[in-house]
Amino acid sequence: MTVPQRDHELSRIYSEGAWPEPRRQIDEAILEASRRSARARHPVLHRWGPPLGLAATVVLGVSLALLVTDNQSLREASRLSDEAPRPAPQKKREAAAPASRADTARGEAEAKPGAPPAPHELFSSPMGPTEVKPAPAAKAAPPAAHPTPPASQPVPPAALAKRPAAPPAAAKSPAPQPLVGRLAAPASDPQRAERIRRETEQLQENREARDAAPPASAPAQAQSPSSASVSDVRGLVAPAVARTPEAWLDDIRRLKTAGRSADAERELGEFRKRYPEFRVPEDLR
Amino acid sequence: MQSGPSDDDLMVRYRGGDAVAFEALYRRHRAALYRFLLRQLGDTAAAEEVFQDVWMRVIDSRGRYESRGRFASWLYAVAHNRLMDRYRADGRAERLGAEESEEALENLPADDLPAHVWLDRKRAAERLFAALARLPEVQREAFLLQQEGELSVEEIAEATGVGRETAKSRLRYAVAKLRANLGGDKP
Repeated sequence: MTVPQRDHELSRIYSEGAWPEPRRQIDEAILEASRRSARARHPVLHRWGPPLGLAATVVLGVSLALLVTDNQSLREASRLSDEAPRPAPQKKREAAAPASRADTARGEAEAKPGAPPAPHELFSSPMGPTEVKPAPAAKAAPPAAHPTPPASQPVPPAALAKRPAAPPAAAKSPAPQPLVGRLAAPASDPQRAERIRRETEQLQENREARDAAPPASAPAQAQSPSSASVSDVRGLVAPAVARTPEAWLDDIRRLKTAGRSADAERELGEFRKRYPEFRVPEDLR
Repeated sequence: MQSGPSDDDLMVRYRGGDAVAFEALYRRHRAALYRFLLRQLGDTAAAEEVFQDVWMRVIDSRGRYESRGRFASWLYAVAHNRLMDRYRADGRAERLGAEESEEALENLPADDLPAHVWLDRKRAAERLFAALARLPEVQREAFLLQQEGELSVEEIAEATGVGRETAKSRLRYAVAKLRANLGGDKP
C-alpha cells in the first residue's frame, strides 16, 4: 500500500466548496478569553500562587511569633540577670564609687571585713567583737551578697568568674543582708563571706527565737547580749543563746579560774535552774 | 504556507503572556478547524460549541504546552478528543470504535453521477461534501485532517491516537470512496 498522496483534484474541488467560518462573536469571545489569560499571572504561579502565598504567610507569622517570644525570653533573662546579685555589683559599683572613695579616705581599718552591719554589736565574729557602724555609703549602696572591689580597682576576670552566683530570690529578699560585700571581704575569699553571711543569718534566727521566749526568764535576760549582767562578763562568757550546757560550764569554769567566784556561783545557780537534770562536774560544785 | 513566526513560536510566546501571538495563531487556524468540526458533526451549533471548547482548552493549556511537534497536530488532537467526547454523549461512540473492514469499505455504495456534473465545480463540491458526509467518521476525519489541518499521515495518526498504518488506511479508503462518488477512479 502506497502512502496516499494528497489528491490535488479532490483538494481543488474541496476548496471550491463552501467556506463556512466561525461567527465574529465566537472569535471575539475566544480572543477576549485569551487576553484575560495572558493578563493573568503565569499559569503555574496562578495555580500555585494561593497555596504558596498562604504558606509564606504562615511561615512569616510563625517566625515573627518565635522572634517575639525569643525577645521576651531574652528580656526576661536580662531582667533576671540584672536583678541577680552577680551583675549587681557592676551597677552598684558606680553608685557606690564615691562612698568607696570616702571609705578609702577614712581608712581601711575602720571597715574591717566580715563585720555584719546589723544589730548585734556583741557578735563574736571570726575577726573579733568589733563594732561596726553602718557607713553612709552602706545605706546608699544596697547590701550586696558578694564582695565588691573598690571602684578604682578593676575586677580581674578570674575573680569575677569565681564569684558564686546567689539565687535571684536572695536578691529580692527583704531580710537584712550582711554587709560583707562593701566591707571588703576580699574578692578572692568568697567562702569567708559566705560563712559570715550564714553566721549573720544564724544570729538573726537566734534573736527571733529569743524574742519569742518568755521575757521574764532571768537567765535569758542575763544571757542577753544587751543586758548589763552579760556586759559584766564580756570577754569571758559567750552569748547564752548560742551556748551549749558544756560551753556554759566552761564559761563558769573560766570565771572561777579568774577569781570571780561570785559570778561563777551566780552563773552556776542559773545553770542549775536551766538544766536541773544536767550533772555538774566535780570541779564546779 | 504560513509566513512569519511558526505556530510553535507563537504558542511559546503566548505561554509567556503574549496575547498578540495567540491572536495570530488563532487567525491562522480558526477557519480550518471550524470547517473540520462542522463537517465532522454536520451541525453548526454543535460545531460552534466544540470549536469554542477546543480553543478554551488551548488557552487553559498554554502553561503546559511543550513544543514537541507541530502545533496543528496538537490542536487537532485536542479537537479529536473533544469530538470523541461529543460522539460518546450522542451515543455514536460504538460506531467510532468499530473499524470497518476493507471489504466493507469496498462495498460502500457509490453514487452514479452523470459526467457533466464533474464540470460543474460548484455541484462537484456539493457532491464531494455529500460523499464526505457519508464516509465513516474515522475516514472522514482522516481526510479532513489532511485537507483542513494539512497534517501528514504521521500527524494524523498522532492526532487521532492510532498507528501510522491505520491512519494511512483510513485516508486511502476515504480518498478512494470520494473519488468513486465523484465518478473518477484515479488513485
